[in-house]
Amino acid sequence: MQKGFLFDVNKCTGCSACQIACAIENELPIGMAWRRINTFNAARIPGIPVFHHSRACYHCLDPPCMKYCPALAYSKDPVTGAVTIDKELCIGCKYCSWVCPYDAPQFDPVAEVMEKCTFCEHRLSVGEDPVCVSLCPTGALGIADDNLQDGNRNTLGFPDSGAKPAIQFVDLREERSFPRASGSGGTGLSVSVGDDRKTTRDRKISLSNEWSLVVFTLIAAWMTGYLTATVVSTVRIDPALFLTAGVAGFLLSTLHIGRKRRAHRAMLNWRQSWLSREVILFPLFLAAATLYLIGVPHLSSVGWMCAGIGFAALFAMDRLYGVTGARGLNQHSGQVVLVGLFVAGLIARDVPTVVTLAVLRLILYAIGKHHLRTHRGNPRWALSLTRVFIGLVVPTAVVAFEFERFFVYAVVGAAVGELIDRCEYYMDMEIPTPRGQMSNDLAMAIAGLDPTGQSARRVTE
Amino acid sequence: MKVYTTGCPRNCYSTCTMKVYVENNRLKRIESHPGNQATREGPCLKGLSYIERVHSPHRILDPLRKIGWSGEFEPISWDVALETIAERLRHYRAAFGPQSVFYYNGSGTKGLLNIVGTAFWKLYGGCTTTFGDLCWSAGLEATRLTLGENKHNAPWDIAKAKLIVLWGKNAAETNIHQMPFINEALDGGAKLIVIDPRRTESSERAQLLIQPRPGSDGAVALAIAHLLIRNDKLDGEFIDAHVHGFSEFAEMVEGMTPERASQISDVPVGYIHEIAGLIGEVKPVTINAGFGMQRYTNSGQTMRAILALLAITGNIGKPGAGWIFANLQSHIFDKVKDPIAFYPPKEPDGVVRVSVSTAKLGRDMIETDDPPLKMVWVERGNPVTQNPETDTVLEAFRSLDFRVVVEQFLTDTAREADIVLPAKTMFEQTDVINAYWHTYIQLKQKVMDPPGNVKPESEMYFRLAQRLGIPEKDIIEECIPGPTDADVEAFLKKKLEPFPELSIERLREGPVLAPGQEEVAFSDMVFQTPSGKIELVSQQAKDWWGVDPLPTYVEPEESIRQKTPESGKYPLYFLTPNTKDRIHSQFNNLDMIRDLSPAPFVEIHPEDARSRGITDRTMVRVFNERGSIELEARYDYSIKRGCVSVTNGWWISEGGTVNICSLGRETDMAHGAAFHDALVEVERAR
Repeated sequence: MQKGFLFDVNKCTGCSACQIACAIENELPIGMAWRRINTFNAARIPGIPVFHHSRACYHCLDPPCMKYCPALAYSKDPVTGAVTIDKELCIGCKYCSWVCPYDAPQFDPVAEVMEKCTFCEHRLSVGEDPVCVSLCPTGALGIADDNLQDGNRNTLGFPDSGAKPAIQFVDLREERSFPRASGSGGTGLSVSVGDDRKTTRDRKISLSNEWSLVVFTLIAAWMTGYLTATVVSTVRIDPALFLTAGVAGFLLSTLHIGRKRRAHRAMLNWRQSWLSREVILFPLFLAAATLYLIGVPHLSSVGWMCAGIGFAALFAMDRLYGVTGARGLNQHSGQVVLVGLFVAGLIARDVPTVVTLAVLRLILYAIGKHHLRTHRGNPRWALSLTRVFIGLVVPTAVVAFEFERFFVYAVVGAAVGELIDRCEYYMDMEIPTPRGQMSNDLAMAIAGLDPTGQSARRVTE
Repeated sequence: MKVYTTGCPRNCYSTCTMKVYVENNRLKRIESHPGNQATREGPCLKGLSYIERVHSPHRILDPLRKIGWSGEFEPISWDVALETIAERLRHYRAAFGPQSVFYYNGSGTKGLLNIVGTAFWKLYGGCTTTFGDLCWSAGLEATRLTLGENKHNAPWDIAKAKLIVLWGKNAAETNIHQMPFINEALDGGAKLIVIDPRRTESSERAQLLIQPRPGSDGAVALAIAHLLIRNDKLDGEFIDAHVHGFSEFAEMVEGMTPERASQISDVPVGYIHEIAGLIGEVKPVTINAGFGMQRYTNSGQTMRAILALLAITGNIGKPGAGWIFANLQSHIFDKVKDPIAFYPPKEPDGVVRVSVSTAKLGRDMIETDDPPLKMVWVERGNPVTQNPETDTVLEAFRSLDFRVVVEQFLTDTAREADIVLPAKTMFEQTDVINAYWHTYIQLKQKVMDPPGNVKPESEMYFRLAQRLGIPEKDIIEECIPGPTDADVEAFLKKKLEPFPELSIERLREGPVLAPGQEEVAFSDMVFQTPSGKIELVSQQAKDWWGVDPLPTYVEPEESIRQKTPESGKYPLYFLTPNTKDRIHSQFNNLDMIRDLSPAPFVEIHPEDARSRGITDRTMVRVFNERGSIELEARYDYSIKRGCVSVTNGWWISEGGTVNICSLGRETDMAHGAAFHDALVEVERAR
């Protein structure tokens, strides 16, 4: 029977014995932890409870790590329900850490593959509880083996996802949620925990780590767009230059993979993982492009097929980020399908396409900025204006008014604009995390304390 | 893998029993032991971290000698180390007399073998040593004066309480194994009140968190007594039968109205009424007083005042009721128990000079004369960070001629040494330990050989005694066991002889409750006080300590209500509590713990921070005229305004000990250390 963790929020004191026990049992190096404590309201704002979640892998009934792993490295034990990763099969692409809302899979920088909580399978198999459960000094952690299908998971500070995590919570009891305190500072307190929030926000994806993916996805989008333009117009490209760019992009895309020699495994999960689909479609696009540009030069039907594969690859790229649950990503103006279409229109000087896409992306861009301004502070105004002016307005004007002399400026402008937008796509990508959920729930709780909503605003900044 | 039962000998309430798994002389795994009812869920994170501590690459595995003035150490052989020390010892004895050698031992580890040190120094001809205690003196003495003995109900008995008052105790961090029992009580409908200037992990499940101005708890207690008497919420029968001095007490507390107590303590009057209402109505009541509250200059009287609340409501000697401070029922091997055991002897034996106050260590060491101190031997302690007034302690150490420190790691104190001797861990020599919360006697078993050139202290003393030319027969007679495991076991067997229930073989299997221990303390209503009753009036308190026979409220010496020039310059109370991550200065040097607790920080209320231009997570300086430390500020929206808090135990080399700002000063009774009488100011670091 599927087992799961039981966690009593009332009993946990955040003592971290579970984390240490886990690290010892599984011989984890210092700095690596499969189980960690997250604290709600660490700044002890009056009127709001302070509590902890001891979190590890929840061995979901429908585990996204396993579903989306491109290399089929994950498996779920049919008896215990333990979700485990085979380090021999893992390619170290870290994609599982993006799709897991509970931050369970972690990158082992030595072995360059992912690793995670095993549910102490070695102990379960001999009838012992996982070590975190058996050594919890307060009995807050336990084992649940029934009602997991529709167990209580909707608890404060816990990201509920469609993954059906195998966890049962005992909620914080109302009468024990926080003490009535005699100390001063209970009322009229202006709360500002912005700094606290900064440190508790996990950025699973950051520009500095993923720059190679920014470049790769943009190359793919521009190649697809350019190639499409050659099909619908008289524009031509230098095949050597085109294919060189393709190979360079492909090599860039493998940079962030831990085990490059196993990179081919990334194609295995084509049935379920958008990452696998991308990994299959992009080389296929390159092969088709070779045929189209060199084998049967500019045969229209091959061109259309090639463009189709290219856009399918771009769609896979957008989807593979989309399934992480990051908010607003599916409406982001930096999605590569949009980039590809815009580039196609631009290069083909097709006025309706360029104008339509420019307007659409301007709207999406504005929505994104509005969200950023209201929720997370700095919307980067100067950069945004640059992006809009030289990346959308100038190219659209050049094409619409047929300023062919300035066409090269339009292309350069669009390239810069797309680079900014794509960088922002990665910068703005806030994938749900347990700590992020706690921060959001805390902001809500603070807003609830203060009817004017002023302090909640400050928190989010 | 071999599995052993052992007990954790740290200075900690829980004194856990655990199972350890050993393979090829390496500690592989530590697990809970169901034989100890008080700690059956399993050890805390520190207990688990022994896996690292024992095998840490930073552990000292050879005797070390300081190289000139460089501050660096070089490994030396035992021969060289012992001969160097023996030579010095002979020299100091001849030139200044044996009392020029100062023997300092701390509470780093429990065990019967700890007495070997004193035995050695007697053989040597004598030494100078300390009286008093850093930890719990005032509370022990207040309890002894009031109830006659330091004992309390079994740890699990608190689950039967209907009202629990954690008065200055943060059990969730310092006694985590008490939390399941408190939780059980709450499940059964009990109420929890926490009294603490901080909102702690333990106060999180409380109905009420009372935040008095530090040091003013006595006034709150007396006002509660005032209300209990005024509203006639007393147990008259119990008072008549078992309480001495009630009428004088009642007369005294008449003056401590809730209004006056509120002025003194900053606790709103309504809250005082509320606690008094609960203590008066609910039965049974358990009050668990922590150690922090009794480290003020008025704290013996504070503790007596709180104790009185239980006496007048009849909450003593019953299940679910009583006073939890220290349970010395397992201290069966001590002829004289604490606190009496650490008072200076009435008639000095002329051999061991007990003349240095632990609380005033630095100053007393410097001022010792005839003979002055020339050499120090430190074991089981880290006085440079843990005793008050760090600068003076350092000055005292540095003004000596020669320093020997027995240590596992290069602590701040070990860094001051000329010779560091590598200390064993709890897994490397068998010993018998007691506890002060539960009453189990445990065998702390040797489960592995000491690594490298580590030798247990008893063997160091044995070999040193041999080098000093003392015949082996005399050494053994003076209670220093020989160097083999069999010698040590023979020594322990002799100690266990008077207790047929306690054989080494039996203890190897698991912990055994101390013979004669009571689950419900004082249920026989026998109180070992001069009057045979619970004493609210204590003549001994006056005779021994010069305090009022009644538990009156006296303002602490260092207080914002004392209108001295200092109190104006330093308006913030400096709280220096313990944390789950350490036992005083132990454990935080381990990578596992450091990962969770990387650097010290000061918790400050945002309003107090703002008026000083301090923002969250910026560097600040905490200082007074004694010294200053620089660390990061963290907002704490629930700490009492006017208080700042830094956990104690950080080494100077880790970011600064809090004792740089404390003063060497004794508590009102029992020669305790009043570190918590400390005011500071905080400013932005430049």
